[in-house]
Amino acid sequence: MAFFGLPLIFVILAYVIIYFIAEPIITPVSSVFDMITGDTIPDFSQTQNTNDILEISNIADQANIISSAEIKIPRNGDVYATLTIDGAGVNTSVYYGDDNAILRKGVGQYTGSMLPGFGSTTLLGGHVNTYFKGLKNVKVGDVININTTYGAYEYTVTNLKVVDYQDKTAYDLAAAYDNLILYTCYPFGTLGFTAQRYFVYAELTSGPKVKYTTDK
Amino acid sequence: MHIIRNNSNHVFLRVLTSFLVSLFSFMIVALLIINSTFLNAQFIINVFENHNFYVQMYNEYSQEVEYLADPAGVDSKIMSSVMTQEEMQQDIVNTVYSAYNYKGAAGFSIDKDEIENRFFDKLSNYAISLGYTVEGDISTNLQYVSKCAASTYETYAKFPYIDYLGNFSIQLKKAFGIGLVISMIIVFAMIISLYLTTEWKHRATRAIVHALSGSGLMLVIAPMAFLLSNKIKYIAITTKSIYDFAVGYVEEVLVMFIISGIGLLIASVLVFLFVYKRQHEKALH
Repeated sequence: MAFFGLPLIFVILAYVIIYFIAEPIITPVSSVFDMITGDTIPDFSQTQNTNDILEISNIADQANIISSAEIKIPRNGDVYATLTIDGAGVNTSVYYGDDNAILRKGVGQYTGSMLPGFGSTTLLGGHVNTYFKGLKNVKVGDVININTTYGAYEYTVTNLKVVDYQDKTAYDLAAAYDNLILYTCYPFGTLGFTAQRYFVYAELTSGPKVKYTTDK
Repeated sequence: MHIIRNNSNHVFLRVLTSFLVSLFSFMIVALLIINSTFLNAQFIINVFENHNFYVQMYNEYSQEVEYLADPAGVDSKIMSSVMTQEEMQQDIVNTVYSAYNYKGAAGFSIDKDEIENRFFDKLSNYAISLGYTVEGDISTNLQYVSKCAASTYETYAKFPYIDYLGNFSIQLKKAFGIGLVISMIIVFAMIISLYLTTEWKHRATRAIVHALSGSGLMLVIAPMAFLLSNKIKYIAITTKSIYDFAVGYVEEVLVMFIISGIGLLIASVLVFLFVYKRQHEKALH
């Protein structure tokens, strides 16, 4: 009995002593550990393509208004629309977010801008050598179509501009009207990282308005 | 020397001594394990190798550097072919050893300029092969790509937080060494006093058996509970190579505790059987 009982008592006593002596270290370490652990085990097997399924639809009512509660707001990395500019050779998927991985798959929306129909600026960026190669062919008056998971939007190009990459006046994210800004690196057909950006400005000509509501 | 006979005070003293031997033996083994794991650069290198770290880290770096190719209008394979996996492995190993052996920033540093030049040469050759002349704006643009690529390489080859871990290890090593020597002296002194003060030597040996099995259980129970709880796997690291390393690192340390504990338990059982056998033989004679 003593062979098993005494060592077990030793263990309990030792753990209690160690806990009380090391308590000033154990408590912060355990708090930090709680902070850096999540509720689930990270899953690295998830492929990036799970969010690449796009179902275009139009859920606007007869007055061409959509309740915001009916829209499934995309998460970072989700594809939520297609963008086409006939005649310019631009036909690509639109992703929410604009990190390197996303811009490899299509054009990306800056998450600090608004989705189409929400009454403000939608800012989309893409690489000049891939999905936005065709922006060089765009002219003022061209029509840009964006078909989203909740409605179809049509914009008309109003202006084209080349600016420095640090020029923050090139876009107004707080604009109080629906507008679209596309941008890419400039000049076209060069190599390396350039210091200029090519901006295409467009205004909404048709498409459902989104009304902010909480009820479906 | 006063000989302890078998009254309750003497039994209590023997149990107390046995407990203290157990506690300090646990500390000795724990300090030895921590010294050979957390405070040892070679242990980190072994964990890297056991968990395919270099391959994963190189793949992640390659993907990141290939992302630079898209905006630069360059073939992505050109970017990822500049630095090899072997070079990255060597740089990671050098960074780890350096962090554990030199205090502050005196150790190994990655030659970013050399890496930047290699990227630039490769990109220039690529541009020339496409019919571009590498001068003026194109040269500046390619230099900027090379600079970003070299920084990306440095970010991956310089293992995150390794400087902090190294400095921490250098500071703790001395304190751990002193703690180890003191614990050994205490254990040794207590074992000697236990034998000198106990009339029946097999009782002193039995007390050592209790101490050994107590230390063994201390080394096994808490690490085993933590390991089986799988809590470390919930650590929120989004980079697979770093996640695998962190989980593997902690798990390997815990396994060392458990193996050492089992070793002590086996030793205590063997000593117990030896004492039992000798007592049995004495009784027969």
